[in-house]
Amino acid sequence: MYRVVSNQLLAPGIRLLTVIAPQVAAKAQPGQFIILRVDEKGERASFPLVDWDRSQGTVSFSFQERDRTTAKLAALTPGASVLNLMGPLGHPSAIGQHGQVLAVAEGMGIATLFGVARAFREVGSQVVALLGAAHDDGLFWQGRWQAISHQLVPVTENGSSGRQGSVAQELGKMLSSPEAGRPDVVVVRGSTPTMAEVCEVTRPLGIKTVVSIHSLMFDGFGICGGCRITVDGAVRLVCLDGPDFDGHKVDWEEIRRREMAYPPGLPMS
Amino acid sequence: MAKLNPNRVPVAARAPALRVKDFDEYILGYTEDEVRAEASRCLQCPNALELCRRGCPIANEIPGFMKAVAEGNWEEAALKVHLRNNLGAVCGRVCDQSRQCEGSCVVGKRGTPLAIGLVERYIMDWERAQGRRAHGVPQGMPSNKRVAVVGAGPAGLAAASDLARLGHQVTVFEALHVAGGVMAYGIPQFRLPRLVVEAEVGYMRSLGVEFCYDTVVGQTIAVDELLAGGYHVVFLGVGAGVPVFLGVPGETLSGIYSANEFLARITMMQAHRYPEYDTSIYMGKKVAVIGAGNTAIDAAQTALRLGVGEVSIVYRRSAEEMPARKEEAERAVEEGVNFHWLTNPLRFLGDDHHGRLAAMECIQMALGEPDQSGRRRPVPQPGSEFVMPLDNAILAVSTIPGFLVPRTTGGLQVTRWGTIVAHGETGATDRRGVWAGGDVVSGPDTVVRAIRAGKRAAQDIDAYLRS
Repeated sequence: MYRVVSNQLLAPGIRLLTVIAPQVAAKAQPGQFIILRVDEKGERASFPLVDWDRSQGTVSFSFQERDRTTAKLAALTPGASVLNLMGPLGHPSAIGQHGQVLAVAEGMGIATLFGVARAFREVGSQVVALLGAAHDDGLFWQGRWQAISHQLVPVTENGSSGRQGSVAQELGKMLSSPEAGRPDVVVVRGSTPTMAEVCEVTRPLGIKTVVSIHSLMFDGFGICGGCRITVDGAVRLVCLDGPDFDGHKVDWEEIRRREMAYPPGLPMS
Repeated sequence: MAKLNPNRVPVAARAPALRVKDFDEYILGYTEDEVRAEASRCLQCPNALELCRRGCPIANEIPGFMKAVAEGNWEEAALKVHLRNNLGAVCGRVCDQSRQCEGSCVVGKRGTPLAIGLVERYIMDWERAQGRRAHGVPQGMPSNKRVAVVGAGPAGLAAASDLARLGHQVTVFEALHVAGGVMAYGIPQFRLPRLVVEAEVGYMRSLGVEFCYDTVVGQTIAVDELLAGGYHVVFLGVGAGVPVFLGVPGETLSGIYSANEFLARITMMQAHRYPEYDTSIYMGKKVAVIGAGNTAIDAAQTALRLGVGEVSIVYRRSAEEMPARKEEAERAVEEGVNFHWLTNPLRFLGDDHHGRLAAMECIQMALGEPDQSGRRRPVPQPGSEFVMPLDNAILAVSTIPGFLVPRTTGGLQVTRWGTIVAHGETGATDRRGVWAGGDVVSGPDTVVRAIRAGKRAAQDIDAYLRS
């Protein structure tokens, strides 16, 4: 049993759950994920780690309310617990020392990319953050990002805060403006279509772009093969080989299709 | 002595048309009268160690428990099973007896061999129903030594229970939320009821074995940390659970599952009980299972129980080379599973709109010269390509060990197949204090041979800890 410490609403539909899991907290690194099972009848589902506190033995992960499991998670109050939680899983993100890192996050990615961006900052890289949401109420953690960023660029789809547009559109403008420095690497977290669009912006410019794939999986250590994707023509497992991949080598169309394999609420025939 | 009956006492099984409607066990097992009559057929061969017991990888005390059963001495029978087998109720159900003990039974030369598996099953089920476990198994003096067993599959459970009996403090680290390994996530309940595995694990807990779930050794904690953190020995029984895919085009289409994923969703996560359970699975009307091992048969029978209309097994060799138990394949045929022998998938084809599986293109094979495995090599027959319309495909070709443990453990030698190099008799690895056994050493193999590896390692570990 893993006791819930807090369950925070970050933005409409996006939550951050903090639970006591000392053995996961002890090992967690930026870019890794966990798998949990809420209760005896729950499914096994994976979630990206956002933060951890080794001294308190807690880990935090974020989720979007969109299916049975995340509805159960959203309803958990401090003192409640999840039945199983294992991790940290996957490779940590490669935190190299770069001149400039362009961090592109959309929606829940604003939470999940934060620890990665902070780690880049800690090794001496300059972080430029491009954060996007549909509306201004989706732009959370602006202060936190401000604290680690050399430059912070917020965008909203409806223009209610920051510049108007998508992160991919804004990224295109930023990279084509002559005064902007060329980033050494672009790291992206967001929905599959957003990450795919960002990769199409950076591809012609030859800028290395690292994405994190969130794939349906069951065990997290290679048993189910449900998280298989095609990278550079070869089949890879997100759990063992990822979750970070070179975004220019990922078959995005295939990932979009596989995300539809278990649409929420689909009845078993 | 009564005149020997050359024929086995038949066992009751549920009718195929009824049993495919649920996941309950369908081989009903013997009654008391039946099991005593069957056990009475045993000739008590003095050279059993060269016959049935030699056929058994763990040299079960078969004549011993046969005699006890024939006399109705159940406690004695249970003790005889426990002396050799840590998972008797499991082996009685899932072993391929026809190629092991029963295949070596002399009664089989004149008639049908003794139903050794069914007798073993009866004994263990009797014992479970009594709510107690055999006493009288030798115990070792407490050693005050701690052993970490990694993986709660058959090898790990056998090693753990033997080591606990031998007097050591044992902790089993399991990545999943349940113990049993393939017995928990793979083998379907209609062949191995969940209660049976739970009872075995419960018994091991009563021996003092501790279980730590949700712990992925190699991620959550490393073997080196276990050794540095108070464990004197580590036994690696992590299995060979990573599915091998075919490497043909279209394999990532939706609707294609590894057998592991498919079976785990049902056996472990109860997806057939959605929405009571949260895990779901989407199945269409036509399903093909690729491969013809026991896992493939399990997957085919499971698909039928999900209400799939047409289930086929597609295998590139012929019935003769099929690795599955003949008996299981016959049961699957009774239930309506089709077999396409000498058929090999070339590629999977999706529908145009959603990237879901729509069909599988196959080619007919013919058998050529024997290959390294001694089986005749299947050779494609040009021009014999055909398309099989399909809603789901389940890949049950093979599995290999994962690399998390070897990658994070210093001093282990790993083969190019990903298996850990360990001494054939003792399971000792190149790393001092680390033993390994079961599928992670042998590659995919049976439950009973994993038990043997666990037991042998336990003996060697005991000697090491007491030296």
